[in-house]
Amino acid sequence: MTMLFNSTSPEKNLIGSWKEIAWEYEKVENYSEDGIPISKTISKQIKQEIVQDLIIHQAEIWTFSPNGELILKGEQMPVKPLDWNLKGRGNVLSLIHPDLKTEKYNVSVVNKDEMILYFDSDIHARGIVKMTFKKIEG
Amino acid sequence: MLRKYSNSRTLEDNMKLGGLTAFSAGMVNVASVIIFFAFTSNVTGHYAILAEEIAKQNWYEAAVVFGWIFAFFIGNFMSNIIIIHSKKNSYQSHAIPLVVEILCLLSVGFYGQYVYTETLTETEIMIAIMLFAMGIQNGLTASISNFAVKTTHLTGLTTDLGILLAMFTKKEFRENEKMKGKARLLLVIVSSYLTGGIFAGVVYLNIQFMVFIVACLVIGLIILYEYSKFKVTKFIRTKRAVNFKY
Repeated sequence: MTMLFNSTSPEKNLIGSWKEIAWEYEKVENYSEDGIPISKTISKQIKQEIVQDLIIHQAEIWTFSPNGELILKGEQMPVKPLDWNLKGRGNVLSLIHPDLKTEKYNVSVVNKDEMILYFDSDIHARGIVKMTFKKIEG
Repeated sequence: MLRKYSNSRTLEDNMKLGGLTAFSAGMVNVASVIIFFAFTSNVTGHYAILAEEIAKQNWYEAAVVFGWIFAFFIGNFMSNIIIIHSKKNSYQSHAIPLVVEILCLLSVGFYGQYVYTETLTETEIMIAIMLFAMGIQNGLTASISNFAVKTTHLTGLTTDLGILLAMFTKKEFRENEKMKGKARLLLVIVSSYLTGGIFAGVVYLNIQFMVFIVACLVIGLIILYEYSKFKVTKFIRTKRAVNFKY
């Protein structure tokens, strides 16, 4: 019971600033069709290919506000305000662009220090992308 | 549909009740998956998620999912308490749970359309209300049909259908009217559920949360249909009694 009362809602945990620290393929075949081993780590070039059509394009710092606003910041990108909300039991993160384009991310972990998001990427038909974040301000 | 109880029900009664309630359950479930990313007409998946969240020691999420399962349980419990303890006629005692279900779905529809700010707490509560409503519906249909009609989840139904179709590979079972009727009932329920789900998926794009109001109209149709039948039956009985007296 104590653990239950001490637990925090995923929504409360999410509020604050998060820094991207890793991009990896979570579900990926170990070898290519040519038999060449495939690394799970995603290079900067592949990452750019994956995110070019996504809202989160070039973002490095994600700041979630309690009023449902998300600010994405990156070295080469202007500050981009979006709307965010959590659905289900807090396991689905929706990001809504001002033009109402919406992206969904699966929230695997969100606690006081770490956040792990997943999304399906069709790029190179490689599989599910795992994004790991560290809280820098909360 | 609502007036008869258990073994006095005909296959036609069960098919009407099953078809309409399965249609509304399919609508509610698909709409809630689209809007809230959570199933609201069945709890098997929620039990699996509950176990997963406990294993991960995500106590908040585990408590939320437990609350959802409990809401479905309480819905079943409440509808049967009303049926068992009601001193009114069977039509009224069976209609009251459906009225409660309509109130739940109306509250989700109107709140979602005009008030909802998409916070997680609101989402969790609205999912709980819908699970409660589906529990009420399932408890009612299962109870009054002697467990022949369950319309909010299709696991048991698909199992029964598989068993029946396997039995129909033998001529003696193919010619059994009772078994043929059971298969027809199951097919009506599954096709109504699917149709309701597809309908909700299509109309949601245009009417958003008002899709729950449409589900209410379907349930309201059951109540009104039965009310008209009830009145006609009562009128005929009174007329016969008067004729007999004189």
